[in-house]
This record gives sequence, structure tokens and C-alpha cells, in this order.
Amino acid sequence: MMPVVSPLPRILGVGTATPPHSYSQQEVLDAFGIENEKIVSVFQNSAIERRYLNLPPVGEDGRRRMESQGELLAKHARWGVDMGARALRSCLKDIGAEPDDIGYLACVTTTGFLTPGLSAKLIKELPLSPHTRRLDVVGMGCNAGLNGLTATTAWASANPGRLALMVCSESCSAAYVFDGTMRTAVVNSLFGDGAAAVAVMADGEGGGTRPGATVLKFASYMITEAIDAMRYDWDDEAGKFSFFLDREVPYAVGAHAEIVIGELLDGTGLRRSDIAHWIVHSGGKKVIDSVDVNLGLTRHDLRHTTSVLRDYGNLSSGSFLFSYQRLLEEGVVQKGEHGIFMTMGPGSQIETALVQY
Amino acid sequence: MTTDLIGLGDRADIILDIDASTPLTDSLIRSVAEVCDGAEDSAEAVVILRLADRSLPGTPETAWPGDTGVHAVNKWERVLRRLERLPAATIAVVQGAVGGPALELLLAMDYRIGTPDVVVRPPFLGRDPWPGMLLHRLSQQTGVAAARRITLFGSEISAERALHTGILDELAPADDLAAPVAAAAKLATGLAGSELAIRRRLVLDASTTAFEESLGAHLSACDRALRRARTRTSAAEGSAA
Repeated sequence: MMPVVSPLPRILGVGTATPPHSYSQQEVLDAFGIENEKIVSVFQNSAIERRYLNLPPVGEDGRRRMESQGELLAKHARWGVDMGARALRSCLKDIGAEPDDIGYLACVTTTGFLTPGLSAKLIKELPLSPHTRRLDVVGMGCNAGLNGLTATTAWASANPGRLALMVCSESCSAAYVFDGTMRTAVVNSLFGDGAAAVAVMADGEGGGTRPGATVLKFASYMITEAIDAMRYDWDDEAGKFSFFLDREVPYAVGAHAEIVIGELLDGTGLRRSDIAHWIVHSGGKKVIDSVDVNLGLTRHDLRHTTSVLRDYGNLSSGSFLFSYQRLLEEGVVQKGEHGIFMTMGPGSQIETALVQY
Repeated sequence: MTTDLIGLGDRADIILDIDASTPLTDSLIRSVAEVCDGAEDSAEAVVILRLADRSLPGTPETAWPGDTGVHAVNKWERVLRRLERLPAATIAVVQGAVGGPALELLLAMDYRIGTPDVVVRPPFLGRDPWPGMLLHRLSQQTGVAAARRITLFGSEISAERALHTGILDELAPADDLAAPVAAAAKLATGLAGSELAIRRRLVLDASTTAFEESLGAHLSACDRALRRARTRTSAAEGSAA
């Protein structure tokens, strides 16, 4: 009997969305009346120029007031659906498809917990077919776009010719705690709001000659000794969920980057120098520098990673898709070239995918 | 052009002879790419390029890059860049006229040995100086003033001057090139290629990158070095126990 070979999944298109307002780092500092020199310096040395945010409402003293955990969750729900729906529609428009064509929807988010989750809310909002198969990847952090893509491409391979969508929708301004500590200052200087969607289909139907990436392989690595180095957990004093980033994170990620890329390329016959396009998560200046040095990449290799960080900040799970969109818009990708997607987040986790254009 | 793998000491060294009078061809690009393949596949190789003008005396000088197209030039620039980022020590030995491909390759190498008869001739295509990335490398490595003098009017540079401007690192007599090459290769012994590539890159980037912008890359390299040292120490303690 002939072995059954699953058709390879292809990324047919991408769409992105943000909230309406963006702020410079100085504008964010001014909005919260932050004057502490150390915190100001963290904001100004972030390699970020602007971020799209939904800042809290202005209080009686004219300053942005603290939001309760309930208000933050409501913000996550409202903007998670709003941005997710717009990113999804933009992606469908990109490939000339309709909401009814979608057979599978994976939603990825970490900025709040909802039951029913974003996938259910988007199916109602758009609307999508009630037969849509759905999955919510919640709480996996900045690496989760590739965890979601693993599931999405697997469904696409098992259902050739049918359209699968993944939406990463992160309302990071719903995950902010303002308490004047360096812990929250680092987080508050970094993350921005945004959503990105990708459309995936196996066996090339509908793909045609459009530029797009065939997903060949995934590889993962968890840095178990750094399990507590990135976490989003309950802060009893603030009475809120609060994100924590250990200052060792950038270095721990960089130190393990070669291991996971080695695993990804193992058996493919490809050398690292054969990779024409690197799409690395815009995690922050330090982690980008560390991945850059440890993998021997160039500033040119990481141009979209650094430009997305500059223009949006860290958009968590969808960041790498903003970079992917910029790469496609550049129009330099040649058919047959290989690329790597790389995301990193809590675990501490590095996720990678090998693609061919 | 031949690529040989010979054992020098306990490492596999990758040696490529290039005729410095050759024009830009696919086969030239392929030979350099094969050298890069070999160096990337071997943990501690030392790459040695021997660059000499093998044209017969009296033959008119070959115009560099010759009759080619910009896409071939782009491929050539990419393979030079790959050579410049190799995880291996790279040594060049030049003799006689150093123009076209020889000068382009020379400027991408870590250590450069020349004979006293070396004459560096920045390449011309017809009457015009060739404007490839060698102008960038020359400016970065010798300074704008020296690069301007060298490149704009096609002045020839003697071996002595090449040594003083930093195009060459060492002069050695033609009949005794083996010793300085072996000495340079010995210096590279034990240096992990990947670590050398990181330091080379930091040095090359330094002149074009502001201090604050460079700091993150240097700290990442320092962290990597500290982790490697710790791993070595714990391995040594493990084997002693």
C-alpha cells in the first residue's frame, strides 16, 4: 500500500489590526505623570517609538486613573473581539475569501481570560458558520502564535482544500498594572495592542502563484530552569494579574537559540546560512540583540523585527505576523527561498517554524 | 581553481587557489560558496585563500568584473558577505598583482599575508573605478582619506603601503610563505569558529554603529562567553571528580 502523505499547509494571506490611537513613549509617560528617572530611562531606551494602546479613562485629577481588574477584563473582551474581527476580515480580503469559507478558527490570546473564549465571540460577531471548528490558545504568551499555527496547519493538512484561520488578538493595555515599581515599568514600557490573522490551506487550492509560505516543520524548546523568568500571575497587593519579566530572560533565550534552530534544521539538508528570511518575534531590544548575536544574524536579517518593535512595541503572540506582513509587502521574497519564524515567551519557551516560499 | 582539503595539524583546512586575473563568473562564485559550505560544516576549520595573478606576462589586464550583469554582482557580493561571516578563521595569501577578485576577497579575510612584490590595483571597468562593496570595505578598513586616494584615480599601492594602510597584515618572502601561514593558522587553533565570527562581527559593526546601539550586542556576546566559561569549568570539575 502507498504511504499516505499529508498535503503541506500553506499560509495564503495575512491581515492585521490595531486600536485607533497610538502614543509615543513620552506621551505615555506624560499621560501617567511618570517622572522617576529610572523609569523614564527604561521607556526611552526601549527602541520603541510608538505603540497603539487603549489607555485608561481620565480621572477627576486630569490624570489617567487606575482600572479595576473587572474593567481590564472588559477591555480585553471588547478590544480582543474588535481587533480580532478586523484582522480576520483584512486577512480574508487579502486572499479574496468570505467568512463562510472558514472551516476552522484558532484564537490566541494572553491578555485576559474569557469563557466562552474569543473564538466563540468572533464566530458570533462576524458571523462565521456555526459549523466552524474552533480552538482557543489562552495564556501561552508571546510564543503562542506558533503554538496556534501548529494546530492550525495540522487541521489544514487533515482537511485539504478547506480554509483554516488563526487570529492572535492581544489587548496588552488590559494587562497593565501601574504601581510605580520597576517590575511593572519594564512591562508597561514594552507592550502594545494589536491583532494579526493568517489564512492556511493545504494542497495549494486557492494558493496559486500568490506569495506565501509552505509550512514544512516546527521545533520547540523549553528552558525549564527559567520557568519563573516570564510569568503573568496574580499580584495580591495590586489585586490584579501582573506580568513579570526577569532581566535574565533575553540572555537565557539567546543562549538556547542555536539549540532549537539546530533541531529545526536537522535532517532538512539546510544550513543556517541557507535561510533567506528570518521572522523573529519583536520581544524587546535586548532579546533581539541576543538572538542576533547568538545566531550570527545581521541587522538586515532582523529589519522587520526591529521596525515592528519600533512602530508597535511588543504585540505578544501576533508580533511575528506583523513582521511577516512587512516582509511580503517588501516584495523581495523569491520562490523556493527558505524562512524561519521564531517566537519566544513564558516557559521559558522558544518556538520555531521552517517555511518555504 | 581547485578546492583541496588537506590536513594541517589535526584540523581540516580548506584551501582555495584563485587566479586573481579571472573575471566574475558563476564558477568563481561557486568555488567561494563551496569554501563557505566546507567551513560551516566543520567545527574548527581554518580557511586559506591563495590569490595570485596567473595571467602570462604581457597579457592585457582583465577588466573586473568583466562582461556580466548586476544580478551576478549581487550573488558575488552575497558570497563575499558570507565569507566575512564564516564561523572559521580566514587567512589570505597574496602574490603579485592584487586586483579584481583578489582584492575583493582579501578585504573580507581575517588575516592577510603578502609577498614584497605585491601591487594592489583597485579594479577598473573600462576607464571607471569599479564601485562594488570593496569601496565600502576599503573605507571602513583604511579610512575615508586613504580609500579616496586609493580608489578614485586608480593609483597602485605597493606592498609596504598596503601593510601600513591595513590592507595587509604581514609581508613574507615568496619562497617562505608556508611558515607565516602555519603561524597564523596556529594562532587560530583552538579558537571556536562560531566565537570568532561573533567577535569579528562586533569589530566590523563598530565603525558604523553608535555605542549605545552596540551595547546590547556586546552584552549578549559577553553573556555567551561567560556561559561557555562556566560550562568549561563545570565540565573540568566533573572530569576531576
